[in-house]
Amino acid sequence: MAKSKITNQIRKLRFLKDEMTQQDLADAVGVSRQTIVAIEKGNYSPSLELAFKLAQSFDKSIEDVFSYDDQK
Amino acid sequence: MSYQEKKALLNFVTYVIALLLYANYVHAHYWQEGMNTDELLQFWSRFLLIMIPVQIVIHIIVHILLGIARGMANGGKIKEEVVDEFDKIIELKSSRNGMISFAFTFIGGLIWLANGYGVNHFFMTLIIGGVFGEVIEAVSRVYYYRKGV
Repeated sequence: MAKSKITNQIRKLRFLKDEMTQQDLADAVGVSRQTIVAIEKGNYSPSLELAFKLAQSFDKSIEDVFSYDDQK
Repeated sequence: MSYQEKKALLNFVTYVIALLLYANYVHAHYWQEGMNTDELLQFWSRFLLIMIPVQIVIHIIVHILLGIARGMANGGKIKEEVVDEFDKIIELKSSRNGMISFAFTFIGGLIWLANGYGVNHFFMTLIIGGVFGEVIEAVSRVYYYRKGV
């Protein structure tokens, strides 16, 4: 499976938010931990709705969490 | 192996075991040698029509048992299973792969019929196609959970 062109800072933002666990983040946005793992690894690009929820859970804008790299 | 991967494999194993038990029961009680084409069509149609609810009931029972076992493993706490967009996409893609595989075996069954091999070959191919489709679906599901979509 090709890596997504969308990269994210979720791992770093979790660390900065008192080392929030993947399960805590999953509970906060209403998905399974496995989905958070897949997003962090770049194996899954979330829907816009989930991307906004993730950004809100870190009190960041969506651009601070996700970025698009066309060169990949 | 994650819970979803285990569930995919459990679905496949349940399907195959239920099919084998059901086929063995039907063969022992209802199969007769020397049936004509109309009787064979009736036999296989009944076989497949009854197999569908049998499979559904067995899957429901197995999933209830799985839920109980999961609750016991969590110290009596029943954890709600979250089905999110990632699960739904994987479900759709793996079902698609399974259905495409089944469609190919259906064409294989038609080729048997076109070459004069008879109704038994056609329906046996359909059943094998069903198992093949389940294999592809389970493998696809595990693959997508591990590699992403």
